[in-house]
Amino acid sequence: MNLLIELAVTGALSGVKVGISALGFAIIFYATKEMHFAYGAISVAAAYLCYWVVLSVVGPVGVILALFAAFGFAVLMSVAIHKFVYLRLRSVMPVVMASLGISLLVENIVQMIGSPDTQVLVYDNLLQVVDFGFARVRVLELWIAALFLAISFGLDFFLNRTRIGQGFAATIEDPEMAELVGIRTARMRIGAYCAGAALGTLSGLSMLIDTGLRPSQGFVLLLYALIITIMGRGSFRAVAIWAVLFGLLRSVWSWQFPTEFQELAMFAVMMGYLIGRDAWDRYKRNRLTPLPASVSASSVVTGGV
Amino acid sequence: MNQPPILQVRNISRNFGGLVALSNVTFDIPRGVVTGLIGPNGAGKSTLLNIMSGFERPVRGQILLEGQDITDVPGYARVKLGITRSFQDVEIFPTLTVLENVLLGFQNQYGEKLWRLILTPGAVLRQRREFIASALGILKSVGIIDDRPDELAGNLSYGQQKLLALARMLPTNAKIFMLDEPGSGLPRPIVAHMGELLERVAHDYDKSVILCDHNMDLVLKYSKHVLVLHHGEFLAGGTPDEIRNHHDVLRVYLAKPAESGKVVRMPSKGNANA
Amino acid sequence: MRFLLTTAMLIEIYAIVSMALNLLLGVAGRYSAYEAAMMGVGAYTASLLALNAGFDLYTACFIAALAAACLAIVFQVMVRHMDFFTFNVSSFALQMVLYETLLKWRDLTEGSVGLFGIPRPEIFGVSFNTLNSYMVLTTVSAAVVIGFLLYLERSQYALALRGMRDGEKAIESLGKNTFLLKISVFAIAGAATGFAGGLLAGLTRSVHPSMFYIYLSIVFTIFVVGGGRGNLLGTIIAVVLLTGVEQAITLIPGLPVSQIGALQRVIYGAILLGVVMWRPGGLFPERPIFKRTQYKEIHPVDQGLAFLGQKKVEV
Repeated sequence: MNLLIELAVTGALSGVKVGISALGFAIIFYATKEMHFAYGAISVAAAYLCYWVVLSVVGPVGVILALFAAFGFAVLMSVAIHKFVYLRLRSVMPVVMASLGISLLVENIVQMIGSPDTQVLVYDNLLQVVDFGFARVRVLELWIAALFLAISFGLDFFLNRTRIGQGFAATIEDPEMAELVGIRTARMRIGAYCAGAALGTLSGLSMLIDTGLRPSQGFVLLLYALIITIMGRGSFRAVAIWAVLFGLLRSVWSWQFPTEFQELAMFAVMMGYLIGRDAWDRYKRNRLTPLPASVSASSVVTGGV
Repeated sequence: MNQPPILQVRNISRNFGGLVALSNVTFDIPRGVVTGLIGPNGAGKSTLLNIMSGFERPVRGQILLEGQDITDVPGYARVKLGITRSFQDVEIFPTLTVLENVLLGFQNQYGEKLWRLILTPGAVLRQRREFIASALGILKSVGIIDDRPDELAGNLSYGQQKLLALARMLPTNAKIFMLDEPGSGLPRPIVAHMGELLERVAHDYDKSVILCDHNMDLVLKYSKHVLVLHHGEFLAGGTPDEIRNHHDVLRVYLAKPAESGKVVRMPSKGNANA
Repeated sequence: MRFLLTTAMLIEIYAIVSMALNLLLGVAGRYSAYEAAMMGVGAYTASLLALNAGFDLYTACFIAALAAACLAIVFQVMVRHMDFFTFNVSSFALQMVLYETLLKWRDLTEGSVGLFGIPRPEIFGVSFNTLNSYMVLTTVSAAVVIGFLLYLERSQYALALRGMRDGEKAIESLGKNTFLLKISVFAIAGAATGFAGGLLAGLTRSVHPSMFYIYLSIVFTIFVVGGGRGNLLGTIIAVVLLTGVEQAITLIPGLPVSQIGALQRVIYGAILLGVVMWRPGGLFPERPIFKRTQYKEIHPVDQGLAFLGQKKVEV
């Protein structure tokens, strides 16, 4: 039983790490409907930038500079890609292709500048382990979990309680209508890219300190974020919950089943869920609703030849 | 007009959640003439057309083609049975040429069947050439668009595209051609050209045409029989003249109020003389 | 010389898969992200049959093609009603599921160790064991498959696919069964890809999951988009050119080995982005399938509407 709890905690924490990245991608995708495949690569590149600056400029100044550089780079790159590439291309397939191309470019330029090996930034105080009795957790992971909760609830609050947030929610739900009532949807989209890029960078930075960074991690990160976003179907709550759920499932899987099949099981479950959900939707739609009782029989009028 | 109707619509009802789109609609489509289907916006014309052509399913009711119940037959399968339709938004194939658009209308093409492509390429080629010849002939008969068969359909003007959509339906050799707003947004000469073509198709080749349009001139001028829909219910049916003077239709659709004191007496709706 | 022969065969095999993908992506307008994994399914099926079940590799290639086609059909039936984004994501998910299966189902596939010592075919007593002889077999097989795909591209079947791409409702209103069209085109593409996978297994004589990772799917997409969506001949040229570029990169003096892959992918990314932005049709844009000018000798039928039947004679 203890093992199960420990697995659950580890799993939830790993889900949280994916969750930050997934929320960032979801913000971008729901607001713009653009499949920003370059998201993962830019997040990782931003983290690399941070790493290089920290190595070059010592001390707290270096850290602040590094953070500026990382976030600045991610936000500027993302907004620039949105404005100069995606908006010019308009239709869905070319955007997918272009973002795949950018993803390849960024990821491999980073690899050429740096090295394909894993890079880690070590901060001892963050790596200290806290023993909760039922599980042992690192301080860093607690911070990440706290961040995730703050972001999730903050997003919820933003969308429901603030004016700008409601405008954003309207942009997601019905952009044409939103435009008609005076919401500046174009600005909302740029804001979405800023927020999404920031979350992506956070996710990259947490990887940097936690498990280490490799250039090729961007794409798998993106894939998870993408699938969870599609599963979420417009709801950020769903995205957050799915992310944690998948972390849990993945970890708890190894309680009873061979660990090496974790990834396989996860992707299979995701695919199965998407297929099942689609079938269920169709079934509901095809089971035509019966006519309301108020339709009178007297309206039968025959027209003949 | 003593022939049996080619299409019978019986008690068709369709709703979207609480919104009733069609309610107990019943009428017959006569054979060999152009039948117009009119009604104000929201009357349910497009939904009715979708149900008749198999692109939507009714909640209740039946569609009978020459006596055979085809209510459950999906849209693409109805073409073989003899029903084809056009769409309100143009829906020609923009990246294909004019000739290729028309070519897709032919049925039972050997060149679409994989086993024929592999085993009988000669027959495939022969039939293909026949179809191309027929397609070119159809284009010539339709007119206006016949001089540029290799032009990409997306480069044609709106009116030419609507004509192409019409031309594309002809090779199906259907018994019933259903047209959804074919004249919308078109200049008068092209509308007239279309109307004459439809009349020719119906009259000379004993085909039935269902013309669903807002354009009263088009419908009343070229139809022999007119059906009126209002708020999802069948309102009236008759010759264009009868409909033009029909009390209920005037009240509801043409918005010409009956002059006070003068009530226009109509022949009862059941006796439409085709 | 070995190098040239191996590269040539690799080009032929990649050309088959890329043309199949172009049939899906360019002609039918349906994206497929799992072609690399499908190739892996073909390669592993053929290898396992040849190694463990005593099949000749060439026969195994055909069985592999069948297996891949069946897998494609099953998957496409399950996803047939999905909207574009969900369909796309499911496609990626399938690639990952298949890849993980190849990597982790060690009892069947030997996992990350891979399969070795795959025997080259022997047909009617003729052994194709040497590189030269295998080159002949591969080239002839590839020519047949590629020839068939090119023939298919110029048929009414491909025209119907293009029509479906342009307007699904419209093509249905002309009587075409879009479900059948989708299933059949994915089956054909799957079969060709599976077969190519089998040929690859014979070429390299060993298979390993890393050969069929998602990157390869993206590379195939680049071949299609760069060469020309909807133009299968263009795909062949793109494969030749880009493989040449790829090999040329390996010859750059002073480039550390770890950077070769990165530089190749940078070039690929740049090409993909560049083509999409500035020459969206690709190097060789799509051409019409049937042009009047190609059938100059055909006369239009005199009574144009005669197709509709006999004109009614007025009494």
